[in-house]
This record gives sequence, structure tokens and C-alpha cells, in this order.
Amino acid sequence: MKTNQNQMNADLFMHQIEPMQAKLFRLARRLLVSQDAAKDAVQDVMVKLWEKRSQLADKSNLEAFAMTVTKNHCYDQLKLKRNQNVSLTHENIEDNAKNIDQVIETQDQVQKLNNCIAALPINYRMLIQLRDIEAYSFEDIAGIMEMSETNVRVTLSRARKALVKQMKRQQS
Amino acid sequence: MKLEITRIRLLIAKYENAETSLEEEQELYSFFKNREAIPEDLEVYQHIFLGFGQLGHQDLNQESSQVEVTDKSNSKYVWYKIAAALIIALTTSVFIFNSNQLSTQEEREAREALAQTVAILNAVSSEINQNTEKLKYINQLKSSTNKYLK
Repeated sequence: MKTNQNQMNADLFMHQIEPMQAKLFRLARRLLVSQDAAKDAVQDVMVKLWEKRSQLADKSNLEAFAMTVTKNHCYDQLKLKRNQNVSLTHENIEDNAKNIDQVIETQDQVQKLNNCIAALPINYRMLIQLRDIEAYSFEDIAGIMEMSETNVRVTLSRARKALVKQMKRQQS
Repeated sequence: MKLEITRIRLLIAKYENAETSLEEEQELYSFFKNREAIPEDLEVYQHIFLGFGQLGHQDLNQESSQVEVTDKSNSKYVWYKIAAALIIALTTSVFIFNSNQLSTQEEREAREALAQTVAILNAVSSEINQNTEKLKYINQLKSSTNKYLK
């Protein structure tokens, strides 16, 4: 009986969590830069969520909760500075890929934008990712970031202005 | 059309102040997606909004396939490098081999020419010596004519 219930839980868990994986991964990569580190982070977050599955039913917004867990996990990773070397090598790979893609102009523009975002401070990066790329509401973002909504708006405004400035400099 | 551009400019100003709603941001995205002719000063925003759209569609599997593609091209470059090194090695070795052959050929020709010149010089010098022997008779003739003149 108990194993059956567990099985049900696992199915439900995968059903609910799986669609979020890509979003969690993109956020993790935005924060950690390295592709591999982001993949590891998503795996770790999945395990954390699975361990907390009994509490998950109480969470009204599961996705926002998963994003918060991902954010905190990535912050911890950055504090550990475990992946500093990885991020360095990753930048090399990205440069390489950029050279190949330069033929295709649109692809190049996306790469430029990606690099400009990557050059921003971490909280700017995260807000741009959550709002402009993943299109979360301000309410959700405030929940994920554990900030007030006004604070989110003020910081996001600065982030957007900084990004536009960077992009203009790149174009000229 | 002008009105539309004005509205877009207003929305961009609102966007930069983080005052736009998700619907308004969607409106900006679809405006830049569907328009070809865009004022020059708005082009940067087009790149930004269209880029956001692209960046939101990447997922785990797509990423790994992209990495594979770059890896493949990298290995292709490695083969190019190896091929280039081989070509250089081949051409230089062929050149050196050829120049070696050339020098032996030249040497042979030079030796032949030396032998020929030595033979010619010998012949010439022997001819010269033959002729000097005959010059004695001129001296005799000289002395005999002197006799008669005196």
C-alpha cells in the first residue's frame, strides 16, 4: 500500500516538475554561466524538491517555489566558487561557438545579447532572466527573489537600462 | 503608422522604468517581430526583444545538441590541422628530395664539364708545345739570313 502511494507520488512529482526543468536550467545557466554546472544544479534541485515532496502539496505556486530553490542553490554554488574554473573554460567554448555563428547575423545578435546579459551584475541578470525571458509576473518574481515588488521594479529598471546601454555600445 | 511608432516609443520608456505589464511587453515583442522597417534608434530594442524570445526557447536537450555540433566542428578543425601539417611535411620533403637530385645532377654535369675543359686544355697546351718546337727553325732562318746580309 505504502509503496503504491510512493509510486503515485513519483508519477505526480515527475508530471509536475518535468515541464519546469527547462526554465530551471536556463535560470541556473544564467547564474552559473557554465552549461555543465547548470545541469548539475538542476539535478541537485530535483533531488531537493523530491526530498521535500511532502511539503510541496502545500505550496500554491510550485513553479515559483522550484525557482526559489534553484536560485538559492546557485547562490550557494557561487559562494563555494567551486565552478570558477568551469566557467572560465566555458567562456572559451562560447567564444568558439560565436566565431562559427558569426555567419548568421540573427544568431550573432542573440549571442551578443546573451553576452551583454552575462556581463551584468548577478541580481540584474536574474531579474532580466525571470521577467524578460521567462515572463513571470512581478508578484512571482518578488516571491522567487524574496524581495518586495517595489524593490523588484526599481532593480529591474536599472537592469534594463544597463542592458540597453551595453547593447548600444556593442552596436556602435 | 507614425502613431504606432509613437506608442512603441512610449512603451519602451515605460519598459525601461519597469512599469510595463506582461501584455505590453508582449506587444513590444510582436511589434518588433512583425516589422521590417524600423527607425534606426529602435533597432537596438529589436535585437533585445527578439533575442529574449530566442533565449526563452532553449532547453536542456537543445543545449546539449548545440554543444555536440560545436564539438564536431572542433574535431573537423583538428583534422584540418592534421591535413595541413601533412601537406606541409610532404611538400617540404618532396622539395628537399628534388633539390638533392638536382644537386647530384648538377654535380655530374659540372664534373663532365671539368673533364672536358681539362681535356681541351691539355690538347691545346700540347698543340702549343708542338708549335714552339717549330719556332726553332725561325731562329735558324734568322741567323742564316743574318749571315748572308753581313
